[in-house]
Amino acid sequence: MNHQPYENWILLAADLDQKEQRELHLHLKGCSHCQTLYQAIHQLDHLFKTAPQPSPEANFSARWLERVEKRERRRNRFILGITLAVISLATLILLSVVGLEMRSAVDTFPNILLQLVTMIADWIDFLNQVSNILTPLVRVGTKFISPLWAITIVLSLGGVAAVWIIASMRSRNMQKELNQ
Amino acid sequence: MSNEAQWIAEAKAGDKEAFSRLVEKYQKPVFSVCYRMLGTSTAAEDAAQEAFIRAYQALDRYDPERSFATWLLSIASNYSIDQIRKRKVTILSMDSEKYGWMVPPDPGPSPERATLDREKQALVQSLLAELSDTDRAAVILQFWHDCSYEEIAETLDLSLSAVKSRLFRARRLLAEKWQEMSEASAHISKQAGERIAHESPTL
Repeated sequence: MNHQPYENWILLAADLDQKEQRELHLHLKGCSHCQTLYQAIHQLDHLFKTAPQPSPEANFSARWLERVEKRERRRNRFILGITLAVISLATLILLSVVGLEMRSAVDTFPNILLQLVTMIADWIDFLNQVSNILTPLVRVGTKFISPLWAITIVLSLGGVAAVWIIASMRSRNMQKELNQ
Repeated sequence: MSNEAQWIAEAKAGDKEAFSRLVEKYQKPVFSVCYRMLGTSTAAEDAAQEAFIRAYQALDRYDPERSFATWLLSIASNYSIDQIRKRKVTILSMDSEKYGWMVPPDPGPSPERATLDREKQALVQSLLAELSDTDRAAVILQFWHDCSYEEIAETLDLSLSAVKSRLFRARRLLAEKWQEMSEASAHISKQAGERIAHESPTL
């Protein structure tokens, strides 16, 4: 016997029209298989309908509110923790870099100081030698040359030096322009 | 604007109190879905609370064209399915005595009524436990929450034909289990009756 359409009707709880209902009941009278299924489904439906609806305990929404707030506090604490950790890490990295730089500066400082002192000493030595050369010349020169001539010669030499400096600067600028 | 729409709008703006009114309104159906899915009050309470938190956090994605209740139930049922798969929750067996404590307390009019309710509840859970997670969710949504095939399909992310086929299969399995239980129960009653009949002359 073909049970297929009747099983579908029974199991899917389909909305049947009057003709289909008659057909189903007619089939059920002669088919114990479908009759058993039909009864079982009806008993199940009855059991499901009459079983009490489970309810949560009182103050469910208050507990929900508390839970949400607790979770938000925990999230905020987590964000704060992450922020502090990032800041601490960044500070640590910064301090490490600065510390390394300081250390390398401390290591090289005596060398720099030594170079500076040497350079200043060289300059002093150079100026001293120039002074040693110029002093006798000036002394001898003042005996043979009048002050007016001396001023004229100094000014002339100064003018020549100024012209030379200006000319050399201009030629350097021109060279730069040409290079560009 | 209805109260519900107003609460949703306020909750979207970050008002937790407004959402707690929605929790108050829908706590029973959401708890019920979780209870039917997970089988214990403790797990159901936890799942229902979590479902509401997820709904609150996902409120921006809620489509007002859709029923809010169905949307909540879909979150609750999917969360419960995840929990079952994650924790492999043991659902109730037939033994109502053993699992009676799991059923929520029902302040019925009499102890007999309360016992009967607990037994029914345990029986329902033991039958539901025979189904796969998705089939169980489909049956629960259809039977206790009057969801249409389309709503079940949307909720469980299934096609319409898949929902029909799952419900067909699930109801057939439930019917078979029910028949087995009825036969076993009848057999036990018959044996008990025979034993009593056999022992009574000696009393």
